[in-house]
Amino acid sequence: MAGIRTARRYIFPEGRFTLGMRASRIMQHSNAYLLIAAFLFLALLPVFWMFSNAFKTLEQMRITFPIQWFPNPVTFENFADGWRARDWLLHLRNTLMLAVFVLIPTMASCILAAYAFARMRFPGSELLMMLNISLMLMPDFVTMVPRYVMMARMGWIGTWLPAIIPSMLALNPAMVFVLRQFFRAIPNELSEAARLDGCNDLVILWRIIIPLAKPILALQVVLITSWAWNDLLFPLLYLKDKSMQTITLAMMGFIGSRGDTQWGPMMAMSVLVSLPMMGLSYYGQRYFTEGFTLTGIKG
Amino acid sequence: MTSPLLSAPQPGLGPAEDPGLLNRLARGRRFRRRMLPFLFLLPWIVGVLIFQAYPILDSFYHSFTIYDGFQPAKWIGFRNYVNLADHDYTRKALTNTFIFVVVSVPGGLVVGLLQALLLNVKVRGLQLFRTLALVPGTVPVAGAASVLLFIWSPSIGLLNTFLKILGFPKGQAWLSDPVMVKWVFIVMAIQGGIGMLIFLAGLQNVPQELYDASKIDGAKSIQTLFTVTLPMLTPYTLFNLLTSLIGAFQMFSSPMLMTGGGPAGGSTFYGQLIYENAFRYFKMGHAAALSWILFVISMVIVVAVFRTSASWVYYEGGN
Repeated sequence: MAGIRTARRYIFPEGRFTLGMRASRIMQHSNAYLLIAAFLFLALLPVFWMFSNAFKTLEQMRITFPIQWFPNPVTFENFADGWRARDWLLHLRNTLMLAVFVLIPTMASCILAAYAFARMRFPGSELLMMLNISLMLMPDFVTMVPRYVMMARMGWIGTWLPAIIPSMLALNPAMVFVLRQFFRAIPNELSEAARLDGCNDLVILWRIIIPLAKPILALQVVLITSWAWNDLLFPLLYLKDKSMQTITLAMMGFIGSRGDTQWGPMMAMSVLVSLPMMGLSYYGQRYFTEGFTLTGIKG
Repeated sequence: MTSPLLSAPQPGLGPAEDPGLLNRLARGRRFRRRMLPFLFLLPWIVGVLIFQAYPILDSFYHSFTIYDGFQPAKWIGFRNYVNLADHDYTRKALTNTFIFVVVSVPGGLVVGLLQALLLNVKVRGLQLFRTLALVPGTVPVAGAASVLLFIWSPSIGLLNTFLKILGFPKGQAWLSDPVMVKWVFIVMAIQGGIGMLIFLAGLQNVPQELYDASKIDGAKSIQTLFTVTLPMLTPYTLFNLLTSLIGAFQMFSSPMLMTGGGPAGGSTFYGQLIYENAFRYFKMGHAAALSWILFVISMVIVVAVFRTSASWVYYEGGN
């Protein structure tokens, strides 16, 4: 019980912030440090374990007791074995192609739609925005089968068209909504001044709105790239062909192909697959808070 | 906006000498101005019609048929809906999903909130702790899936080693136990949500004056939590609740990668059920019915949450 009481006391920031010497403050917060350490230990353990085991020999991985925290000796065999098992460069190329093929047309079409919703007056705009919001909440599975049949009938399976064409048609209601919220927050005076100078809407969009919306656009780049890196359903349906498989699909085969599980190569490939995304997400995270505060979750 | 029509040299009468022409030109400009939003919206409108409206209607129709996607569909009325839980496999997936949603959504909210509160204590090194706490969320699902498989592994997994240290030498089969396996996914979902990030953003927006006032009133920390912090966080709670509910019903990737739904359907959830009906057994009519049930359930929950939200969500500065 004492533990819970301490936890409760130290979780809450207010009133715990007294002036004093640095050392005394650290002492005062020792319990908070303990809790944070425990939380970080649990949260980071899998990540640490992935890195640690990527450099272990198989014999070392087999030892469960006492726990072998660090690889000794360090081996790079796992990376070599894992790399040879599949054509990872091809899968990387496919992942990047998917990201680009979705990102560029989605950006173009969603920015146009969001601009119309945010900065233009036209009959039915509220109604269409309501429609957009309800489409946001609709499970993807509802449209999955008919879309697949439609694309199969048009002979698009085995091509990149299922990624490109819907993206050209702003098929991302969440992005339309978020961009619209963001565009709306940009002061009207700027675009009105530009209009008086004779700029039309496209110029205003290109010269004023897009530069000011850079943070949220950067966030969308991060989100779509990480979607291409993470998504399983789309590649399972449309990129089944060996030459088109993305990294996630290749990893699925890699994980699933274990008769006698190749833990070492699996950990090594997990590290390799994760590193670029960890970097990108880290870069993207500073946009998250900004995105959430400016897109107005708060009413 | 300078119109090319106006600047072009006019043959015969100029616009100044012909008021009719001027009116016609102005009307044309007004018309184009009025059509312009729809021009911007054109891709969106076409996309909604072709890739949203048509598929929705199509799947609604086919949910009343036997359909493999290629042969003509055969009308069978409500049988897809009535026979829903006929198969043991389907029943299992429905129960799994129900338990998953009911446990992981509230669990994830509570854990995410606690994590955010913990990372909001003003201690030295806070920025570093926050950065570290965000690291696990940046690991892509494929990497996470394989390391978690390893950690939960019965023979050489870290978890059974910890159990052994704590005095349970037998350990658990975890992912190879058909009853246990769904709980593994529930624990992973509770622990690894992005709720923390959003709560943390929300905590930064709670005005310090409220804390000060509460302190002057002599409130204890725990009272401040319930009278200040939690009410001020409700908009973020609403957002987290909705996104995690919708996400929980559609959970797909991690069980697909880690267990393929096994053993014995123990980790088959709703998304995989729809996927397999459609693309493994080619029972697309049945899959359509399943997805419509998901649609209706999601919508009922979303509407219910929104309806009740007025009574428990507090917006600073009014609604």
